[in-house]
Amino acid sequence: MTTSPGWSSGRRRRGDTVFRWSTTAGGLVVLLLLAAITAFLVVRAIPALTQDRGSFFTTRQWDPDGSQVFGIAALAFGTVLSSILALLLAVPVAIGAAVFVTQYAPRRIGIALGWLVDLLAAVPSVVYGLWGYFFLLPHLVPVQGFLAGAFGWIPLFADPNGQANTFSKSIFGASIVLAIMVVPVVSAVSREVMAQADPAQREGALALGATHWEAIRVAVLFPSRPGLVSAAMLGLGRALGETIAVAIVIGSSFAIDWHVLVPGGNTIAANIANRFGEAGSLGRSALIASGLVLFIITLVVNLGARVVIARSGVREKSAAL
Amino acid sequence: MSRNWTAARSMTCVAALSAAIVTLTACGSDNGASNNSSQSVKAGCATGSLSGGGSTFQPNIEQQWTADFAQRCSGAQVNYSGIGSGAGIQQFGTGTIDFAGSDVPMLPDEKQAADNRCGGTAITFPVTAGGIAVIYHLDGAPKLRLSAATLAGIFQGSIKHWDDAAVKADNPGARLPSTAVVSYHRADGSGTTAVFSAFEKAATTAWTLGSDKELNWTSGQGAMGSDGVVQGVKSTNGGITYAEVSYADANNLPTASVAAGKGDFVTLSSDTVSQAIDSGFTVTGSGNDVSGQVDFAKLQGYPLSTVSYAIACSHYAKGDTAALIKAFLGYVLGDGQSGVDALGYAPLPSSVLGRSKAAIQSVG
Repeated sequence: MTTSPGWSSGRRRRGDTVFRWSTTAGGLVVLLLLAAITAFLVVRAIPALTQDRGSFFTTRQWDPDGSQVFGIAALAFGTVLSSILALLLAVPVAIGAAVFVTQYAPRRIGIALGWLVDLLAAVPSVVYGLWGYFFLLPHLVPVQGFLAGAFGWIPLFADPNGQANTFSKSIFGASIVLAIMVVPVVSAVSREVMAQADPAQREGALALGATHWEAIRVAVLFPSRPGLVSAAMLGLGRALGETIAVAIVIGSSFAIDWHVLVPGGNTIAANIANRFGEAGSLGRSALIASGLVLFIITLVVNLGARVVIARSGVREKSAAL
Repeated sequence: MSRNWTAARSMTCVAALSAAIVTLTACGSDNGASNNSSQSVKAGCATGSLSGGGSTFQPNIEQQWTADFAQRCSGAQVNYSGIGSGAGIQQFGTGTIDFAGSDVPMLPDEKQAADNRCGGTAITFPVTAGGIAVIYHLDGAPKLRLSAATLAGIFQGSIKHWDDAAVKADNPGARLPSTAVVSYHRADGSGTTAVFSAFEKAATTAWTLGSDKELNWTSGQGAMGSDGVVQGVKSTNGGITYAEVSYADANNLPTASVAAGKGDFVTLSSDTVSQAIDSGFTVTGSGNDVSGQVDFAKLQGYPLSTVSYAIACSHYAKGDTAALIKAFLGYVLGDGQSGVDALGYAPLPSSVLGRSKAAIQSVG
């Protein structure tokens, strides 16, 4: 992150020059790609944004090829809600797994376990979707019934129309599938971060009479915070953009409904997957416009994560001083 | 059943092939001179490869057709992928594929793009017919009969239990459980949804969702693809959906008899679908444009019936492509019409078939 030696060194050899320019080109290509994607999304979204007879940000229906009334309100809501729920489910498990692998498990078992968790990330998302639909959702029915019965007083788990006890494609089911997909991402990054923690500090804490848990909290988890936040944000990005698995398990309604157990819910990415095949020209443009919104949401989340990391990093440094 | 049918065909071709070895011509040349094709090619055959795609209603039958055509005409290879009618029309317009399959005629701007691609006119004509089955899963229930108005209540959420008065009225004397109704509809845009909603809209004033490939459903659950909705029904006692009849057979789920308005209840079969298309399909295009619509008011037979189209150019820049398109779709509209019922489709009635054949003959 400091000045690169390639730029500052006085004497250069030809190999250095070639290497320097090829890495610069690599960096530029990434930037150009980002710019090209943004330009594509904006240009293709313009027809939809100008011809929308509803309000693009508040309308809760999607009919671009017929009445030309469409909006992303319900889609954006479902995208954010399902991703946040997925993160709430995934982060404790992922960090727990990372702590176990790096701090508790014997080295060999830790490596094997870490490798297995990584393997979860290699499963194609369509497989998660099909598994979710054909196996998980039927088995979730009693869980939904229990949640609605025991925690129905929490609005999130309320079941106003008595639907929780049936096979339902809901935000709840989608969140669980997403959580499973997010765990390996969060866990892998968390593991790397925790591996950086100075073992001497942990040993010092133990020597001072701290319990195992206290030593890990103070000497491993606390200094790892920025990295853990960025791991979670990486997971959130994955959840926000996940397409086909969600398209298969979510209910695809256009209502904004906090009741996650009842059939319904939808996300921007799932809606694109579902509608693209049969969309007309305006319909395609409208889907791309929704893609632009998803792009912006992910960008904001990532920038937010950077800010969080930068702030906590600064505090750490000042604390160290 | 379809497997046996294929086997029978391959036997025929083996016989034809042995004849070919003797006469030094390809697969069964006893029909005499072929039109413009080279001498080694059988009448009604051409060589080369074609790619088509579109309607997800057609892949099962296209698979049968392309396999049989490849066997009948050596050196001919046709591929069809079910990517959705809209995507098929779009890819046809950009020239990615040689012909498209669609459940609905093209919209004006799509027609414009297709005409530009063809450098002339794009033609649309029916290639097969089929019925949309109302598939349900209700333990302890008899074979159900459902009217258009009752279906409207079920899919719009006003009928919540299976022992509702409307369901009882359709099934006099039947013992119906009070199981909750769980309706499944297509979450992705689909020609199946278009046909179902067009029927509902025409048949009953109780239907308020309009008619399109995708609707703004206010109740029930959305699922992706015919597989998705049928799986939902299979998993749910009290579930109901609409899909191609082959999905009901494949999952051992019953289908309901359907009535439009106050009409009689009709069971879905190859015959009742052909009858419906014969009596209800009106061509609205002119000349070689054989697109049209089903008039549910004068239709007799199984009311939830539809035709599915092929879209091709009336002229191809490459003569080979034109000859192959003509050969393949000529086969589809000829011998290809027999045996389709085994796959859940219905042969086109002669009234429509004549128009379609004239359209494909015009390709040059």
